[in-house]
Amino acid sequence: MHELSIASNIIDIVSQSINNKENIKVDKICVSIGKLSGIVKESLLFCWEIAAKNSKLNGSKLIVKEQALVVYCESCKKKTLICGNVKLRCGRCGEPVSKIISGKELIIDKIIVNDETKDSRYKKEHAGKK
Amino acid sequence: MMKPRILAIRKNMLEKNDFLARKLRSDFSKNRLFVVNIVSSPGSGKTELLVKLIKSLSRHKIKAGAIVGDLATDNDARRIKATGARTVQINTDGNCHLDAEMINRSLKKLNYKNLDFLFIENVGNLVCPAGYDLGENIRIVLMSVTEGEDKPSKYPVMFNSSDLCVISKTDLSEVCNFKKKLAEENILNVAPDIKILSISARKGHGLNQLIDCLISLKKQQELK
Repeated sequence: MHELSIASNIIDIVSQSINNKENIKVDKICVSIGKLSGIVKESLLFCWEIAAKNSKLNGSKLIVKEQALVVYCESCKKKTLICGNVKLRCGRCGEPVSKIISGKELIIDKIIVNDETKDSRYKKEHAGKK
Repeated sequence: MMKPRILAIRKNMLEKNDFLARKLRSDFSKNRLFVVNIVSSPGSGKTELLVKLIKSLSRHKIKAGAIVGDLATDNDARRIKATGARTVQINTDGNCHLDAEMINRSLKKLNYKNLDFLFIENVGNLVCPAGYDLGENIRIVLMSVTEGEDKPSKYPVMFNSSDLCVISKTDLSEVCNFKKKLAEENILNVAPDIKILSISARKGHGLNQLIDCLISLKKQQELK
């Protein structure tokens, strides 16, 4: 339900990280969302279309990677992948485990940009050489 | 030709909220104020619990204030205000959760100096408020017996993000055929470390345990 706020947060953070430069075109934004982050991939992609439309990131593609839920049992020193319904138990001893090592992510990993300034400088330099 | 570049960002999507929440938490702790964020689905009894809780606390000479979040109306704030507690209503105008910025703004209208507890009644919603840190010291999730035993399994994110679960409206357990053991099992499946209390705010059952629990958590917090 709050995917629209999350989408506009992504726009703010990405715009800041390219210093709001007009001449940088962001092609792709790669993000990770955990199974226990409360965000649904499909809703985020849907909201992305709406939120990006009226921003500088119109046309940028959002690539969402879903992170599985993994817990760690201190006594067994073992990781367990939790599939299906959330039941935080160690796969080996069956005891409840609260240490979550993956699955809560809400991370903007990287962006792929096309820097037009650099590109035009490159063209100029090479045009001189020709 | 255009050459694509990869820029590493590695930033949390909620960093702005989390940054402000950390600042609020540090301000609260300087004022020895213990802040409780109360979350639940609509109608599980947050306001009734707060009314009874604040009245009981004031009998113990403990001062509490409240910030109440709702999409619209100030009905809940009026109920809490009637106890004499300093209360501020936030209307989110459709927004499904409270965030740290809304708390920050509402604090300008609430004199929280010399209060012992500040209760934040979040918007009734078991999904969205889970991700938003409000600078609270603890989060309490309410689950009324009328909602059935499987709310934690359906909304694991909210229960997992909470420190204390209050099973509310226990005076209705029998008519609702509520299976307490099953409910507790479901809660602990998604939140193994959570503490569980059972309360009937209407009958006053379990309120003292909650008060003792809050006071001891406040003391622990002050020792940190």
